Amino acid sequence: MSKRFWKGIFEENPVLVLMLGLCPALGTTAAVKPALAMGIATAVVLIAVELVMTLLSHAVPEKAFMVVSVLLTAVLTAIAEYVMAQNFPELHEELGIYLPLMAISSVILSRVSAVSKSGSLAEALGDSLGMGIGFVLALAAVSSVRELLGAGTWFGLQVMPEGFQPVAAFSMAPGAFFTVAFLAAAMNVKARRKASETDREGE
Amino acid sequence: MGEKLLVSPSPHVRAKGKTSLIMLLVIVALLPSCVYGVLNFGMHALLILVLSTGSAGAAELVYELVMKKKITVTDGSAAVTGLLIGMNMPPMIAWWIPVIGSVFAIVVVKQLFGGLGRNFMNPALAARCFLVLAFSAQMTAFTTGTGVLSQVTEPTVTAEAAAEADAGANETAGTDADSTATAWTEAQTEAAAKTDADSAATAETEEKGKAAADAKTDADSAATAETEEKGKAAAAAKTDADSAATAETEEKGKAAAVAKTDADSTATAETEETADAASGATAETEAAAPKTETRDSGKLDAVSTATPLKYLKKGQSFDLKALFLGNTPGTIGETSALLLLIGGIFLMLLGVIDWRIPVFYIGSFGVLVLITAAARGYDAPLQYMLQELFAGGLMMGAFFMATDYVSSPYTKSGRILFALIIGVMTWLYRMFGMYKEGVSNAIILANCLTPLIDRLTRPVAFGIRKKEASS
Repeated sequence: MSKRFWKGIFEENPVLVLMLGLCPALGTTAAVKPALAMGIATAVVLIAVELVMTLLSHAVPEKAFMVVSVLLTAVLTAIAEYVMAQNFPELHEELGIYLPLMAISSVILSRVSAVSKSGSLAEALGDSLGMGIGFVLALAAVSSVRELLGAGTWFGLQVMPEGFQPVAAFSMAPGAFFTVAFLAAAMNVKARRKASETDREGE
Repeated sequence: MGEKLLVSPSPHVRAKGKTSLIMLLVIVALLPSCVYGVLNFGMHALLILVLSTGSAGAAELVYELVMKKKITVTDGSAAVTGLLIGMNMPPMIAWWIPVIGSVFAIVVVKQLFGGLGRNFMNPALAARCFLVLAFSAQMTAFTTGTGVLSQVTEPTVTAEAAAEADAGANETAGTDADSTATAWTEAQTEAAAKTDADSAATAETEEKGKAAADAKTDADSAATAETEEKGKAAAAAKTDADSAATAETEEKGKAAAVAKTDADSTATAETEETADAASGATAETEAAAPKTETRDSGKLDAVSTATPLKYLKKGQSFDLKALFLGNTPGTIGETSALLLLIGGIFLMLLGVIDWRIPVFYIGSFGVLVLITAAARGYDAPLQYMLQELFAGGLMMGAFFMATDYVSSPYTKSGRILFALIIGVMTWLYRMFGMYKEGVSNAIILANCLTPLIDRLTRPVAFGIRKKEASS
């Protein structure tokens, strides 16, 4: 279980390595605050769905598995939306369409279909926790870069010095793509180096 | 058998030309325009060109050292990219912006995709688009420079406005010996001397046409300023009542009035800026805070202004000779259509670039603009077409950017199709889009389409018949 957990954060980080959940990663990361909110919401729903589906894996027939997962995710997304709207209305506004999009989030659906079918609760727990935290970290990283370069702030606080000229491109869509691409490249370099090391050890 | 036999696939006969030679020829072709740019805009332009070229070379060297690849800086391709980036910069831009552009072009667009021969779009243009996106204010702040040849030519204006301008200019010209002011007043009298019908008709057939009507019907200059600017800039301009108010009426707040003092220029710059905001232009292209810089000499040397494209977009006319020769505001390397044309023809004659791309690009764009101008009822559509051809980055794009070997198709018919696509896209951007300049976006779009064009125009191997024909 712990292996799954650590994998979810680094080697198989959902956004930067597995390239899952790119939609929220690109769309909500203009600033750190909404990115963290989105990440935490997705993580919570992911954990819930994955655990429940693992418990149901014996009861639900193979062909209906995905359908049930999607339904469950949608219900939980709706609940998450209401909770957000009630307690953090500005964040809810800021996230806009991306919050309902969590219902079909590739992170949740692919992890569920990958792990929940095995029926092992330990695996599911480790995977969902790891993937969830990995997702939040990835979103935090992307949004930090974008907010720092694009607006000079971090979490709304002015960080960059006065003379800093914010690079508007990073607050906009192209900057999102660039940031995700470069961070993914960095992660992959690390992962590849590690993989080649373990390969050599095996020889 | 003592000798080794070398076996390799074709080609077996190779031409003597190398990449470095080709790049050298391109640089030679670009030099006249660069020199003119420096003469026109001053020493800061030279600094920009040197910095952009140098940082491109340095970026490539550093990248290849860090990634342990073969050092290919000496083939000159990075230098050409850097030079092109520098030529695309406004003359008074901060030094670090072209450096960022060069690094982006070389590292991201060229090297990360595989180096020379593997870039999927023109690196210089991709960098320009990135910079316009990233630093839109700085990239659209055009100024006249302090060059030796610095002369400012203003667009032709309506008869009434010209008359008022003359009155205002004569009033203030006597108090200043600034060379730019003299040239400007000369241009003004020239403009006033032109057929009134021509300029009046041009202004009337303008799509928006609101400001012209205002200028005609409102004799009071201060009131006209207020109606144009919706009261925003009038307050700022009233700090210098006479000259500032006159400046507003004559150009409908768009063109830069040549300022005699710093206060004048700041006030006029504010009116220009708010006029742009009032006319609903996008924040990206029009939110530029015009910069004026004074040097030690004391006299004003950079006046913020707009490129000719801005006027053309509104259907106004601009001095054709100035556009062709290059006495206009613009980026460092793109103003002189004549010199770029000479460079382009030089390269075409030497076979460095394929004539099809520039010819079909310019041709298709010209024809489309001609038809549009006639359809919109502009006076002298042919002249308008020529103005559109010589203004902005079209000449440079057609000869030096679109013809990049790697990002353009490799078949003859493919190149024609490519050029036509760019022509149509540029026409769409320039005539109907919000941006004033459509060349760079059109070319990189077509660059992305190049693989498809290549597939479409793939030559059929000799002997293979079409499947339908076989019986």
